[in-house]
Amino acid sequence: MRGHSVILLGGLMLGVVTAAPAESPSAVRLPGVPVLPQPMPSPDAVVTLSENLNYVIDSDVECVVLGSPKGRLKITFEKGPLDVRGEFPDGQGVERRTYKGPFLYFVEPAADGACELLVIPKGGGEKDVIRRSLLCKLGPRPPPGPKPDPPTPLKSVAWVVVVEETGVRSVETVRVLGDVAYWKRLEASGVKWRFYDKDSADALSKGYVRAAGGVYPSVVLLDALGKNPATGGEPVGVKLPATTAGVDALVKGGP
Amino acid sequence: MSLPEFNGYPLGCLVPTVFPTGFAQATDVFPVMTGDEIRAELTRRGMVAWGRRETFGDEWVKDQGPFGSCNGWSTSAADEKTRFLRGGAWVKLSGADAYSQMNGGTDNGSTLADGLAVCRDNGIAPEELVRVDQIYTSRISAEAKAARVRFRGFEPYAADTELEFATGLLLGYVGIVAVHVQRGFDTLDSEGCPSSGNGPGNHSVHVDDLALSPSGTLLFDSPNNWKVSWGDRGRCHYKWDRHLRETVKYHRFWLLRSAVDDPKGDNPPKAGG
Repeated sequence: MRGHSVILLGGLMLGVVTAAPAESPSAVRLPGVPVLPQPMPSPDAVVTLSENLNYVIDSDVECVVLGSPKGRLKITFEKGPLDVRGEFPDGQGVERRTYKGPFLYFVEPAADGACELLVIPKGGGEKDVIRRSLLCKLGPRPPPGPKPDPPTPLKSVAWVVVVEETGVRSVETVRVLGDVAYWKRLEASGVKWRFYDKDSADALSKGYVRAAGGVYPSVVLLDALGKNPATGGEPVGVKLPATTAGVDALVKGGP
Repeated sequence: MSLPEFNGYPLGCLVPTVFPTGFAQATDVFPVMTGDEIRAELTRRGMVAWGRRETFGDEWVKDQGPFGSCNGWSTSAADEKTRFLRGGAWVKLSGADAYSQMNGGTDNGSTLADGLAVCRDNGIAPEELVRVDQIYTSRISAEAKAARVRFRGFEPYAADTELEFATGLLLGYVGIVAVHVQRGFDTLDSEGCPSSGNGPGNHSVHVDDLALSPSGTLLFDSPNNWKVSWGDRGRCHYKWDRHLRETVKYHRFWLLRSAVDDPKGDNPPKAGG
């Protein structure tokens, strides 16, 4: 069984990237720790995981991903490669990243508190287990029962338009599009939504296909007048995020 | 010709004289998932693809009344739900109006393929404009006929196998099937399935969800057109081997991928203003 050296993903500033002792490139890539000028962060530093951050394990091999204690983390599998736009624990602000591995695991906080993330490559033994310390912070929670607060959108986002080719809709895409509860919460926050097939007359005549720019499925944000809510100019589509949290980030932060 | 009946409901899904062709086919549209992939995804989702029983509760269950209009009502339900799932307002569409466009002026039933064509080409008027008993074109108002085009489906396609149909459901689409109603059909077993009816098919229903039984069998979750009082709050599960493997040989099962915007509805503005 090959050992795994973990090359920390991230390291946007020179000198921050650290590597575990082994020499060979890792098949399992975890996010790095947040960038700090001093001291040099180590792989064992605790990473604060809040709901707005995309913590993505990018792996070439199938893994078992667990959180301890149970119930503190929510792990979602996605098939890669995938583009993800949003904020990252080892990044600065909103950015777009491409995860190339076929096995992607999205780690989200499910409850406040410290926990340990365990990543076990399939067929691996104890020495192959990758461990990270996380501090989950959900922030203020509503009392049990009421639904989570809808996102606070950019003041001028009136519509979220998704343009897709329904003929090649993937299981990953529909995990986002099919989450009716999420879209209804978004609607309750004042942001309306609509999905179009790129071949439909409406999508073509209204310029949504043009805005998508050949990227499908594409999210096009519109203000009430059809303008780009962030710039006031032409709307520009971006790839549909892999999660509804990613859509929230777009609505909050704009394209 | 009079239609056979079950509990006062005429069974108006007709076996076509020739198996319908000329429709886009699932295999032309997208990669069909394997059984293992479908089961893995359902397991990942907690054994049920969408939870549509919660999304589409009692108010969405139809009542075709004492007419052979089942196919009209399953078609209108598929169109209605597809509009809702893509962000449109919930507008109840009339199965009677859909049926009026398929029955040739007599209450002697229709075929699944007729429903696909009506949904795609003409559209279906809202229930508020066409009552359940207005099943003939002569009784449909000009206003209702003019309204149909606003509620058309977009890009339906045929699905001829269990995996093709299940893949479509897993991708979020709503489908139409034919089942064979016979004695005991309204008694559901522990998995919510009616007694087997492996005849050629005499009743049309729509399917809006997919589930996995503990034994690994795919369950096709289907609201009937016989009110909430039937079955499990108007619904039941079908299994391919028990309920659909024969009827699919005679009837063209299909799914609906999208729908057009209602030009009179609340729609997003043109990009760029």
